[in-house]
Amino acid sequence: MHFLWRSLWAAIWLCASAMTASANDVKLTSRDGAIQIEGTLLTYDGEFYRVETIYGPLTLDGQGVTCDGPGCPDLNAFVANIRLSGADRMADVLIPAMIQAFAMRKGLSVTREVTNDRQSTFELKDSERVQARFELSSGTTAEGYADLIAEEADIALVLREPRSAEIAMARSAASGDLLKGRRARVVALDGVVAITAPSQQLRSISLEQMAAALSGSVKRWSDIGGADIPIIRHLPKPESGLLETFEDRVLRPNAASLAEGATHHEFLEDLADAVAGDTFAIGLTTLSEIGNAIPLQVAGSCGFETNATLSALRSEDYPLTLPLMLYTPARRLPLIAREFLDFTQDPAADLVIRRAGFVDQAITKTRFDDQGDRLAHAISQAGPEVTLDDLQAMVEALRDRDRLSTTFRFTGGTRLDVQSQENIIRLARAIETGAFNDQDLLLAGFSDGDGPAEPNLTLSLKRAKTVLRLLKEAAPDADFKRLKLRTDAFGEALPMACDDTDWGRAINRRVEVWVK
Amino acid sequence: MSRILTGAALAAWFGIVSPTHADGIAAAITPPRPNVLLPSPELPHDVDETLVTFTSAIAPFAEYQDPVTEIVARQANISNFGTACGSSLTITPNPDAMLNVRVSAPCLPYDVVRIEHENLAFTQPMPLTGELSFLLPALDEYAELKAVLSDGTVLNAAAHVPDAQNFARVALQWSGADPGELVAKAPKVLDGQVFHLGQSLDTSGAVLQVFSSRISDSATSGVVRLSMQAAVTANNCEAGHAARVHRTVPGEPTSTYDLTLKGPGCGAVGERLELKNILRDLKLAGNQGG
Repeated sequence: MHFLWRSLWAAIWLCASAMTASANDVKLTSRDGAIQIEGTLLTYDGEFYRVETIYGPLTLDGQGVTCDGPGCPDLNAFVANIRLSGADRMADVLIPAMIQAFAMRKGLSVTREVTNDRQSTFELKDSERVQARFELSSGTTAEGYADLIAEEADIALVLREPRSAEIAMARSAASGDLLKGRRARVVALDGVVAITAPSQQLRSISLEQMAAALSGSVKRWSDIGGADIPIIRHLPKPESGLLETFEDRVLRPNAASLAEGATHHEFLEDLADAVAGDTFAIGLTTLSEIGNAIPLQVAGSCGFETNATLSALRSEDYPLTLPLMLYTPARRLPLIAREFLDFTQDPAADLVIRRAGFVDQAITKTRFDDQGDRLAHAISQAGPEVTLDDLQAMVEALRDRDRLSTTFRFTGGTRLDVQSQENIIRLARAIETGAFNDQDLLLAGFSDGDGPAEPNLTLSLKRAKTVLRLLKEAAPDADFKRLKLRTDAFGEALPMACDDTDWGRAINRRVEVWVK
Repeated sequence: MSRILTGAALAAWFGIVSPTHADGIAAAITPPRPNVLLPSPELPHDVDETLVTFTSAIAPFAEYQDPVTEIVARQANISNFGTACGSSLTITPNPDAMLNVRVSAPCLPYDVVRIEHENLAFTQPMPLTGELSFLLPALDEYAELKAVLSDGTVLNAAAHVPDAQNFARVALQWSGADPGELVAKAPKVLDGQVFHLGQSLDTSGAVLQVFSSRISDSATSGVVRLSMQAAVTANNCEAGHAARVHRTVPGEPTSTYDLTLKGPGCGAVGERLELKNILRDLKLAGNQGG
């Protein structure tokens, strides 16, 4: 305990000295004495100095220089300090579980020091000393980006990509372009769901009805196909990434906006509890935090229904998949932080993610036989555009194969969404490690049913070829002679959702991976 | 001396046991002695019952003892109740994966015993008799228990509790004075219970709270909200709390981790500290939920 206080004081002193020192407090001299750089020490990560100089912030390898001045760190007692800030959806359960598992893997013991519900510090210790501190602040996605831009966080926990205002702010704050390079790592997946009490009879609504009910534009359950009782709305707090995502993806496309009168909850746990006990209530939450309430199925007008299940979220077949991401800055992070980031992408972390109640991105298979619903739909929609020959050709190509959970979806044209970019890397890594050696991978392109069938078929083939190219780029070490990897396209032949809505068409524009 | 004694013994023998010999009747026709002890004769009803009533309501042992007599008693290895001083720990499995724990240390009344189970501990003062008995929810199928007595004696015991794998249990150990509590909220369909164990009177003490719920065969599933609450007192406003969490849930690896809760400062004395997001909620799924 005594040691802890002392180290805490040391940390406070270090912070204070770093902030208050306006004059040059370090002088870094190269080993041969030829180059000298003076400035204010911003950070030392155990390997690299980061110094604010008259030339702007510079990063210098600690091995090549000697440090003089009051700001020089104690090189032997370096403790990596990693600050994570952002969405409480990630900070409350997922990240603590990940830090615990990461520490266990490295053979370090963990003590969590709790200041309050929002602030915790995880201290990772070996038998001798503290190796690293992970400071975790739980708030909102917007706070995560703001802290990252202000250099008050090293890793932001976010539920969406940065908005244009945030990108502009990052540019003016000289913390670099937030979109440059691969900065977002999808750690896990969650689903945005509407929930009701178990006593509510209505179990399935369309996305448009969900928008109407949650925004407050309809007032009674009978307006969306339920009993004649009022709708009581429970929503997350306004600036949370979850509500923003819902506004971006559901309300705006339906030209709806949130009306006053809903109860906004600070914690999703409270929201779920409030909804679970009230038949009149509808709530917006995530699949990982439905508590004792029940999620509503999302139905399309043409008869498709999707459940937010593990496999539907993994393959993005559910329209409201919520990727949970770690966003890193353009600057260099301490070694242990980089190891932690690598760990979050490791298959070993998948189990941790699942146990924490989230959906991991492991590559799993479903059999062709389980695609009965989709096939039935395809047959019922067949006509002049999709002929019996087309369907037979597709069944012939896919019949003896399994579908991988990895699916690629496009934000428009041939640009992949965040989760699909992650999927490219996952699948490339699996190919590199030989997981698909002696197997036959078919990248099957599909399109929505908008417009004539012929251009759609061309477009779906183009998408499949794009994925093939990206895969080959992402797997430079793979031996492509040891597996078959080819593309095929079926146009609008096998829809997964109704084509009469934007979200339905977005789900239908995809490249699936089939293996045998 | 020895002759007189032998004579007396013989006299007693003949006088009590063998009236037949005294009468000169042959031993052959003596009825065989019963193999089992005969029941004690019933006492006549007019026996004065006041004879067996203890009048002393105040136990004399609670009074101040002269240190010399205590030392004499200890040397003789005799407790205040006249029993042997030897200490012992026994555990026996009870229904619902509970352990019936008995700590016997007759010569250490009022002293604090520290019970350790699965890297968790709590302290409990021994009662006057030096015999402590309580029920403890088993946190492992192969339960091992350690009792550390105030004189340094360490007692160990183990028991096999096969039923333990049917229970989800989250244990929270608080160390130091003025411990907080584990709060569990769950829908009525999930049967759950919080057990409070131990007393913590000073900084060396610890208490243990265990939430326990049976994983039933039915399709009942739900979420149990677990949170921590503690009153801010003069003892913990600066130092805060040290706590340890142990989760044992079927289908999940057992995990233990340490928490330190920062004191909110002594300006907050009298307030309650509530932490909702530190303990992971317990998701209980029936067989259907998977």
